[in-house]
Amino acid sequence: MSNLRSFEGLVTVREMPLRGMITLRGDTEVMTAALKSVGFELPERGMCNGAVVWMSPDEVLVQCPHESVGQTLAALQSATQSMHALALDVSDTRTVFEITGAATREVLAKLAPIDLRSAQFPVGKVRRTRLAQIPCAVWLREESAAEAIIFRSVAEYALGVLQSAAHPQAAVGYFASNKM
Amino acid sequence: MSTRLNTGGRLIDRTQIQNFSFNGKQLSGFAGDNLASALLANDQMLMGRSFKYHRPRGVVTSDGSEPNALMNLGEEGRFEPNARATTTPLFEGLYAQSQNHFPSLEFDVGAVNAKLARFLPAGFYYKMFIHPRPFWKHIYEPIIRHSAGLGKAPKARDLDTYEHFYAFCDVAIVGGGIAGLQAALIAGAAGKDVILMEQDGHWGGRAPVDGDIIDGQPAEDWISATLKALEAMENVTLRTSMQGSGVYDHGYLLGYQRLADGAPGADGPRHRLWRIRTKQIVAATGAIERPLSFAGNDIPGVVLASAVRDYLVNFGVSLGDRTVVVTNNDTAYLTALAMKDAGLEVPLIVDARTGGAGALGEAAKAAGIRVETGKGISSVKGGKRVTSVEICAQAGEGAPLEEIACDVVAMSGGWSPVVHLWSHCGGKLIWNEAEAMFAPDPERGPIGADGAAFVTTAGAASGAMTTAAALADAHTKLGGPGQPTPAQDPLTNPIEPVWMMPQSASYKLRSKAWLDFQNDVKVSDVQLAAREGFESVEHAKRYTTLGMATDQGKLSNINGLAVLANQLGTDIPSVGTTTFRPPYTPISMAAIAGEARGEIFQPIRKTPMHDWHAQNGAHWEPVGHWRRAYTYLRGEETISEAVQREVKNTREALGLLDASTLGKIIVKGPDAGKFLDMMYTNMMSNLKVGRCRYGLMCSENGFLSDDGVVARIDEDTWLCHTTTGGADRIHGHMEEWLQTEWWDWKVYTANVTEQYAQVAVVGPNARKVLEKLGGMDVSAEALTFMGWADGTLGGFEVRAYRISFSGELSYEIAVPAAQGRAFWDALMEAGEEFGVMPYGTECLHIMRAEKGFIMIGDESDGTVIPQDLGLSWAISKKKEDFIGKRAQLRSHMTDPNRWKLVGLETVDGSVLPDGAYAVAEGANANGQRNTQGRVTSTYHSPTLDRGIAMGLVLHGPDRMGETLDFPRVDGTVVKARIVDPVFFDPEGEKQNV
Repeated sequence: MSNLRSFEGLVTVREMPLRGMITLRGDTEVMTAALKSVGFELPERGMCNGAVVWMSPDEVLVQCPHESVGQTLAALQSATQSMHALALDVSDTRTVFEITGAATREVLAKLAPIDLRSAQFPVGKVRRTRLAQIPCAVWLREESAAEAIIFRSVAEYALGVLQSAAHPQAAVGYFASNKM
Repeated sequence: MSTRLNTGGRLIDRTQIQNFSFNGKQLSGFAGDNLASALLANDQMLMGRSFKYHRPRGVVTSDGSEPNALMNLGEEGRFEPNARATTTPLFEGLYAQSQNHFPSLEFDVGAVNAKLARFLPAGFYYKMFIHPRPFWKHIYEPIIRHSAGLGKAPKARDLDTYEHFYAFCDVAIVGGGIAGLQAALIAGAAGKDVILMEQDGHWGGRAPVDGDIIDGQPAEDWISATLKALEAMENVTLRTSMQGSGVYDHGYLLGYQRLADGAPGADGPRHRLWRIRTKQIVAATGAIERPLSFAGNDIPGVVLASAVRDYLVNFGVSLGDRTVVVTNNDTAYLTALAMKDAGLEVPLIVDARTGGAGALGEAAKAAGIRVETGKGISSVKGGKRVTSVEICAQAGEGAPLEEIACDVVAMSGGWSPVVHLWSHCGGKLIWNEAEAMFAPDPERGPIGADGAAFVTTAGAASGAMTTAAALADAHTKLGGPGQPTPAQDPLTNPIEPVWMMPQSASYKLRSKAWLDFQNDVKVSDVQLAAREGFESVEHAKRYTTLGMATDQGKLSNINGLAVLANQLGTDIPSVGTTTFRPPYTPISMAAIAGEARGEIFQPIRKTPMHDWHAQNGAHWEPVGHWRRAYTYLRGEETISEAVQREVKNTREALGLLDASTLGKIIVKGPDAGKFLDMMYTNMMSNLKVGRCRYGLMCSENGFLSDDGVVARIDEDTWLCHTTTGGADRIHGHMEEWLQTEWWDWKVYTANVTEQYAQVAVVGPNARKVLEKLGGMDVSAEALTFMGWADGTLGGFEVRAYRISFSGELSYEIAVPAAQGRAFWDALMEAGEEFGVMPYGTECLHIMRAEKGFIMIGDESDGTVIPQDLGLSWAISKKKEDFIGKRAQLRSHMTDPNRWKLVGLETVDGSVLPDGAYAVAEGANANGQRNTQGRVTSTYHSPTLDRGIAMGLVLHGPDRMGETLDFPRVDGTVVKARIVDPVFFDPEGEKQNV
């Protein structure tokens, strides 16, 4: 888990250490109950509350420390045992990049075809979209810090396109945070 | 001669000299010049040669509609053909060469075509080269192709970078003239998110050049005050050098921003393509001046009247000492007045209208300029430069009345609103008789999802041709508060349409009157097309090539269709226009590609062991977006030798395959068994926990789609392996059925392909190496063939599947992806004493072929059903239904004449060519040799030391032992015997140990 990749440009991009991730699928009541059993709350649909990330109408991603993923998974599975639900360890499936800096929205807007204006993409809002040619889930942790989840096999590609979009001389200045 | 005046030039900075090179000549201009203005300042009026006749051509416009002044710009990695000099910003060190001439611009051999012009009429190529038929492909086409094309194709790799930017806004306004500025001001003040883009490097359009008075002040002052107000608005984004290139459905607009065209080599992207989604598009794109069609109107020095004053006012460049103005409307008088004002001679204004101009006409007379009304130009004299014009009566046939010496002819045939963006998504036009122009029909705009037009036009683009009307139009269209901004316009006399000058010009004159300068289409060509029956404007366009050049007919379109209408004896609206398509002017291919080039051209998926493969001689093969090792090269060996070595070693000792790329999909829920019984042709619901089963998936049409091993994990969970390329597709296929057809079934799926690194441990020593790592019982008794178990091996948490695709003793071991590399390393180390070698995909293919196992994509190609492949055993007869079942009952699917899978063994031991056909007697209706089978997979088997193949053959399984003929491309024939497809260990003794 050493050799975490990173670079600086218009924004700073850092690969995050391996994170415990569990895919949880079920209807809202099932997910609410299951999450409660491990001390988490189901966020408002389409949002992320830090630990729990909405991925689709019947799917959330539960994040926890990598060491405790087995324990959390077992708790979720036992909480949903008698219900129709799916809980799976997907910690190794993905790579997480943290993107920080005033140009965060702007760098994402070069790669993701989504409306990143603050009214449409407030802090905590989750979008499943693409970064250039690869799938990606992204949300703003705070105004100038995003987390982007991509598949691990394409981490180098993701880093490459982020690096190209974050070229220091490629500022666009479109969003209120860095208007030009 | 054209020259730089000592004063004037609102856009240039005379303190900054910029040196550049044109056709090897060292010239200089000023910062703020474009290439055209700088060339003109150096008396370089001749800028290129036309496409067909190689006629000498000078600049005719001052903007993006330029047909003539096209350049090969830059060198090597920054070379670009067909750059319009009029929109190319000048910079220090600019390197330009004119196009379409040999050996030089001044002396061009191809100009002989002009002498042959009467033998090269419209449709010449179609008529001439159709017979004899075979000549087209082998003789005519290569020669024509050689002489076709204006610029040269770039040879070197582009050194610059490009990017996209996705922007969303409420109002996107294209055009930074006064209408666009006014529109932005209204939308911005209303609190909307606004993007205002202007294709040129400066704001205000031609209002400052034409000396408009807005709100009681010179246009320039109003423009800078408006800009200041806009800049103060947080919700307004202003961009120059950015063209609104194309409008697409649902409020999608392409903005083409040229960031570094004026500073090549600057750090950062050269172009940025804005991909804008907006609620409303406002096309404030102005209007384009039309040329007049008179003989010799293509001689260098005949320039649009607006362009003549643009060069004068914007760049302080005079195009010549003596300018004759020829017009059918008042605006060209501005040019005469401006030239006179600059101290230059205007010997004559030729006004085709008998009534002449309004207030500007008076002003011209007051300035002492001679005006001749009701007159036209009979012909222009000169070769590479205008020397004089002959005047005639517009109403006549062109008998010259007078010859007047001049070096510039400033022409104006009226103005055409730039309706392109309005029209890209289907906005309709209406013919405005009074102004002699097509303008947007506000009742028939391009309709968005809500039934309302999502494009509006503002200003001259709407057909509002005066300053006051343009501002009022923008005000109304944007719903501005209060009264529109007032402006003063001189009183004008109406335009009188002139489509040919003089009105009844002789053939001789018409055949020298150009419509399309770039493609050399003349009035006589369009008339000929009409006479030959090309009555539709779209047909006439293609027959004559009118409007098909890089300028897409911006100058020629309206004039051409007016000539067509006259010839057909109908009116202009019933002829209509050709279709306006994006982009407005050509945009760089690199901008469209954006960041997708070099290392990031395409995502390359890498397994957790990718780096190990790279460091150990992997010869790569792309499989989907993955890179898999085809083989691992050692020392000096060839690819083929490496593959043979890997097969032998795996069959005799121990091989490792990185199988991480295989798709892995979890299917869970109370209805999962029922669901999988529908997905697969065979039964999956009765698979026991802890067991694996090979399964086939078909499309609704019954064709084989994917295969793989399914493992039952627990009571309501299955793990489905798919092919490498099939993972995403099959996951999508499953979700589609669940979401659209069986939405009430309780099933969840998850694609966990990337969660696991998977290693196939294969060969007689497979069990030994796993036992050496230790941890779980992998014995024949504990982990039987087609079983799986969780456990640990060498300290790794693993899931071990006892499955085989090679016929050998084989395990596939899955570990969490993050530990994949460490696990691989541990296997390599532990396997050393057992002769371990990694093997690649080709070895995998050979081993499966030796065993007669099919490969999706080799034996299947979308037309093959499992029954063709002898896989009927994997098709359940008990199940009521599965996807593809009904289709497989169709008569064609049950036809006994369908080709069936067999093994093929060459008589001489050689390898059959891949895809080769087995020939049958006779020929088909097309005279082609009949066939009776084809090769689907073919290899040299190192195990058997001869060529083996699989193929589909007519009645194949019933013809064992027969010999078939497979012709090679070189005409020789390979003979192969039909045999059982299982070549090796048919009893399965090796895998069952």
